[in-house]
Amino acid sequence: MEAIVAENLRKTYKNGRGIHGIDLSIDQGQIVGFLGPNGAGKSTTIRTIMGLLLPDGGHASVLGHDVVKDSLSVRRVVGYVPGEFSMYSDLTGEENVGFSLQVRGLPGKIGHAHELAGRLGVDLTRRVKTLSHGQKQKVAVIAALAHEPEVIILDEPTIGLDPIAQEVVRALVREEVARGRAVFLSSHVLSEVEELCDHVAIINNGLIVASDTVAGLKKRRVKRISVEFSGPSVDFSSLKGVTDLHIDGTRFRFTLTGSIDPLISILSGKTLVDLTVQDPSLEEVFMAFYTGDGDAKP
Amino acid sequence: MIVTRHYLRLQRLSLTIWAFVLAFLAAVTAGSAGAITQGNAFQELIGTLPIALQRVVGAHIANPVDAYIAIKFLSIVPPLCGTAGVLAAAGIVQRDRNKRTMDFLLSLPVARRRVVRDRFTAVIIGLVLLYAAVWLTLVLVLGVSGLKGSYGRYAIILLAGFALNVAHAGLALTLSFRLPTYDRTVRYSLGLVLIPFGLEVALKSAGAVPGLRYLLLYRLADPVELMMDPRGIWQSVLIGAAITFLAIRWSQEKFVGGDMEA
Repeated sequence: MEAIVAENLRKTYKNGRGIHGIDLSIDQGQIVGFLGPNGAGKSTTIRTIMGLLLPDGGHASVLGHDVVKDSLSVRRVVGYVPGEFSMYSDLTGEENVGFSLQVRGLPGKIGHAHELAGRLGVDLTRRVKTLSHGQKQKVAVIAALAHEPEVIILDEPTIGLDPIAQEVVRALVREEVARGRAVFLSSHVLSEVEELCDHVAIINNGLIVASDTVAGLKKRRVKRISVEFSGPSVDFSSLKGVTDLHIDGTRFRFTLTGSIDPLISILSGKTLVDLTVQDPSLEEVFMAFYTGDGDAKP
Repeated sequence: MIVTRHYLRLQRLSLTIWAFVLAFLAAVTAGSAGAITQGNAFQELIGTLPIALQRVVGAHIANPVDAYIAIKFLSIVPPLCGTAGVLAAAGIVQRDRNKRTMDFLLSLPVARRRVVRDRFTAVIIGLVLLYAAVWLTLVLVLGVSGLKGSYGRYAIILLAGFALNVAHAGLALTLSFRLPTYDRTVRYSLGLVLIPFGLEVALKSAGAVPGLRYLLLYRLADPVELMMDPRGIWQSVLIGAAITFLAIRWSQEKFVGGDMEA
């Protein structure tokens, strides 16, 4: 069953920014990474799915519940970590998490919250305002997971966490996915997305510009090329799709976005010492979608 | 009740402080009532005022303790409790916007209408506690001092003040949807409580026509008039309830119909 579906989802702010037709599909048991630069529309997409913003058009649902007409059911089945810390700082962590559980009619899950707190190493009896940024983020993660939701939406969940806590959060996410939960993960930490996610959606200017598996994205469009000539070389800067060009004597290294055929053509008849074609890191793929000339778009 | 309890928990510190301040003022007033109303000193003081003002300040109230309590203290309870009430009501939605807790609140399975209704209920409970603290303190201190006050009348006067303050809170809630920030909502809400009170005192002292004073709402909780004729409580309760009902309904529609930026 599809856990999250968005079809032509639109939300435009007065300044013209927003999302302009988002299509997404996340299955249960799947973890999807959501990448994009600041202002690309990641949080708007998430906040619209959560019912915090009313869409101007299109449709979105979570486990079959319409995000506008049946927003309460959506929020009942979702665990959400907002992009910006959002809890009552005058209350303790336990009071915050307890409030979330009581509203859901699940006060008995507080034991699970304490179990999560133990794993993350945070004291829930302290007032939130006395906690460090990282500790607060841990409380937010606990509040999102304590009720054992079917769908988990995480907006930058590991931001501000120390490496050990980051790894614990990743382990928790993996466990939830193993239990069949769907996870929608927005992150700036590309290595985290690469490590955790089956699938990645990249958003820019309010539109999904790429959506594929991590391996598929890496293979499909972008390559890291290294070429060394023994004789006359080639002017790669004129080749369409070349970015990040570095020249070291007769060795040329660059990222190629788009088809590899023009490169093969240009190299034919040349004498090469070495040629390597590598799949790029996710970061290089990600950057290619913002620095390229549009070829990277699917 | 979960949302109501949660909002009361958020307000517990300010509520405790307000309760102590009001109880202290009530205790001081009730404690000094004996000394001031002993003999004829108080009546003589009132007798020096112009006739019109004597009626306004309650010279015609038979029991000098009642007159003293009404003039010295009961008349200032509504603006004080009203201040506490509008501060709490202004924050029903704006506090979360200001403190950036809106995303957390609205990500929970609780309807926006329920947030407004249940939090306003918390404001009402807070006002009930404050007024109860005032009345109990008056009863306690006057009783200990061996003075006889009209406790039933005090309760009626305080009930009228409570109805007025609930209406104030309702108006502050509507303001919170019209104004962009919490700070501005608080400023305007305080103006809503304190400026009419100042005008009411001025108009009352000048013997202004009663109709004009209705516009300021404080006429609904005039302690001197209610001490003489407590039947006026019904119009206070009805007008207060009507304003509150309309304010909550309007605020609920605004909250449900719009985005809520955190």
